[in-house]
Amino acid sequence: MLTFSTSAIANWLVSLLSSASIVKQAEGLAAYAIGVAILIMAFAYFLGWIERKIIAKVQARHGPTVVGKYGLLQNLADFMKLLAKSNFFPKSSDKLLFAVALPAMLALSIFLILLLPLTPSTGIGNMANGLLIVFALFAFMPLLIFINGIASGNKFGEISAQRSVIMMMSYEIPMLIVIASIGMLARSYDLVNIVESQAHIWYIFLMPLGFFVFFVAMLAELERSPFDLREADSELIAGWLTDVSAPYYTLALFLDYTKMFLGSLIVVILFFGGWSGYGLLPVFWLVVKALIFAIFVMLLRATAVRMKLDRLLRLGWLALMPLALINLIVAYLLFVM
Amino acid sequence: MTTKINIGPIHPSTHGVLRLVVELDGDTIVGVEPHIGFLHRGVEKLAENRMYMQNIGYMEKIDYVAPMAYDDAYVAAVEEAMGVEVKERAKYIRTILLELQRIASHLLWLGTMANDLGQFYTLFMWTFRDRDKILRLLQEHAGARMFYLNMRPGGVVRDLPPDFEENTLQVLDYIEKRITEYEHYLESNQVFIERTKGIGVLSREMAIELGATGPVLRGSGVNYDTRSNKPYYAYSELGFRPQVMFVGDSFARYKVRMLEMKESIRIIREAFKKIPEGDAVGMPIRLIMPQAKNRIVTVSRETPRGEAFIYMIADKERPYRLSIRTPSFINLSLIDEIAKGSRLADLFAILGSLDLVMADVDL
Amino acid sequence: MLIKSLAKTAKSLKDPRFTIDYPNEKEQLSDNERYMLRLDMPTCISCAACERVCPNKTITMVDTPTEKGVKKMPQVGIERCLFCGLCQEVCPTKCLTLTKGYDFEAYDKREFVKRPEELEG
Repeated sequence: MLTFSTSAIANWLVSLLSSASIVKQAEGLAAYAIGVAILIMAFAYFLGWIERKIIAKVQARHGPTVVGKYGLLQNLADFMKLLAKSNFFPKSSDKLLFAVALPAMLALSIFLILLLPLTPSTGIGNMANGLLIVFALFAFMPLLIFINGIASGNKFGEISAQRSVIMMMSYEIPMLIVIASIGMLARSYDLVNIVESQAHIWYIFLMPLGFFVFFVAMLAELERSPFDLREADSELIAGWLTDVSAPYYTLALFLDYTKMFLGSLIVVILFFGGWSGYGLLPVFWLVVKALIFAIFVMLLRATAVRMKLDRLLRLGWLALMPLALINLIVAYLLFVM
Repeated sequence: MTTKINIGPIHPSTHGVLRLVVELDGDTIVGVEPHIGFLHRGVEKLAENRMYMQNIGYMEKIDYVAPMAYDDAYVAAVEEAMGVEVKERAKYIRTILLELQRIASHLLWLGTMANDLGQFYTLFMWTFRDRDKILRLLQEHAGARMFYLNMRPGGVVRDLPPDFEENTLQVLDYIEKRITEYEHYLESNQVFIERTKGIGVLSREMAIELGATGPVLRGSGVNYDTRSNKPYYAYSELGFRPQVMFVGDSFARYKVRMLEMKESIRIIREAFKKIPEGDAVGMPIRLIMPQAKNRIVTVSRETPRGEAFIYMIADKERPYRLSIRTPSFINLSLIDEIAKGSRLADLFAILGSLDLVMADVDL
Repeated sequence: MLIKSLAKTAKSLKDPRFTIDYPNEKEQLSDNERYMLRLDMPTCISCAACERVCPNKTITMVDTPTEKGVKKMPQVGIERCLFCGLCQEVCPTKCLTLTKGYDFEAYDKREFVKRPEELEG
């Protein structure tokens, strides 16, 4: 009862101006959105706990153990401590942009997860161009990092902002070519159709090259090792987050795990079959596959050495772009013709 | 149009408190200017007001990563001022302990260098676990994990405990396996090789002219090591060979230190086979007072960072002047020459491969 | 490219942990450790050798009432002590020793100046 299509949106907007039953529809939508948003935030918190424990086990130490059983409440204690500190903006910063950029990024990532179809029947599904809408909004993230870095007014932020834009130039185009080839294989841009057309065989077996290109580009987008150039922890002290004061830093920490959850969900929906699997609830399969992918990304973070910027540009244009084009051509020749 | 960036005293990867004013043209470094002195504690002046044995506590804290090296250098200076010979068994014991200290110091360097390059503390934790095993061995002998105070003129403070040899040989087998694993872990990673090969080249002529010491010098192709050019203790009898690489970039300096660790393991095993029996305990404290047998003494030793050189004018009860040349001070002054023309992200790889300790720089 | 390193990282997930859970498990130390000081009051002969040899001038001799009258005994400021062990080595009757107890905490810094009666191990 909550599915929309484009003409339904138009009808909805028209009836918004003229009827009173719109309040009930908006209430249902708002309730769905708030409920799922709370679940997403709880899951991002859980991902934070998993990351701390796994990286600690790899490094032969314990991780959080004291606060709450097995250290589950440690992140909550960190957030509460950070929120209780005082907030100030540096004198040479642009206060309006600085105050708006981080909350906008967090709102954007939660909104994007809401747009993805979590089960076959709920969600704001049946949008005919779901894939394109998701990636169009996803490209706003590096721009918001750029805004935050420039507005912070110190040199480390500016360097980090420049790096963010240069990185975006190198991985966006191969990612878009791979999405185009997925749309070509599934013959539609609707996310629900993409998942349902993987019922027989997952796309990772059909396009392994495309998966590799998309994986590398997604790692660079999510700011994870070996591509965490923007917030290079040991070179620029924290990059665009250097002058961010404690309550906004809470949002930045939360944003890291929310973005990782979003990236894992997108990869699972596009390549690993989404919610397909027998036995249990479809939502369970989606979340488990996203979790396995997220653990793999965490192990990669513990191993990799950071790449330099010019090497990343060369990788993007000389390695990822030809591979994406080859993948597109081969997929067309094998599966469409 | 060049801008100046201040990589300030508080920074995650300057190994202490060091301020660098870097002049950048876009992303390329045009000049680096280090400002030091944030950790100056006045060791040379304090030493003029303390008696000889009271000074050891200060000498050890000059280099807090490998304290036994400066302990040994200072006590050797006092021995030469008094004209005391080191006992035979004590020479071998000092060699074994100093080489164990060198392995521990290079393990810490490996962890912090991987950290500077961007790895998320994994290799750091693993090398600290291995270093901890060596520190436990030294704890059995000396009584403390970091500041040992176990050298006395003529020998060491007490003899080795009875099961020291078999414990050490077990730990050495374990560490040899781990060093090979770390080499494979880093060298099979393409990104690490690209971030260190060809970065920060120091040519042979500039290394000799600017006065580099230690692994920085040996990484540029100069075959100079204090343990073989001015030999002391038991190094000449154990057949010590210095390790030299010829290119002069950060990868060469990294490789020299890995090879030095393996050479230290070989020397410790040889020393355990050849150690003589006898007495190794040095002089008790109440007897230490040089009778100005030699008034001016000089001692040079090879610490894990390079060549440390002590120049002491000995008086009756306390040194009249104690002057120490530390290797990290000289190695830090090379950074303007090495870092010109490379990018900002390379600056930290270069600093990591020079192996600086700021307490060693500021004395 | 990163396959070998990733395999090594995944393999190290089954190694045992190296850190200990501090207040519940403690380290085993050998006997010649140099931590907290301990003074054996009947044996002290008030020679003040420990005061003369201390590098930091941490030990001072103070008046202490004992059964045989008022004698001078060493008082140690633990927050300045280097734990170097020179006072233990130079004491002629071996009454000042360093033991292996290493957890001494206090909320107030003034509790760290230990009088001779408090050093009685």
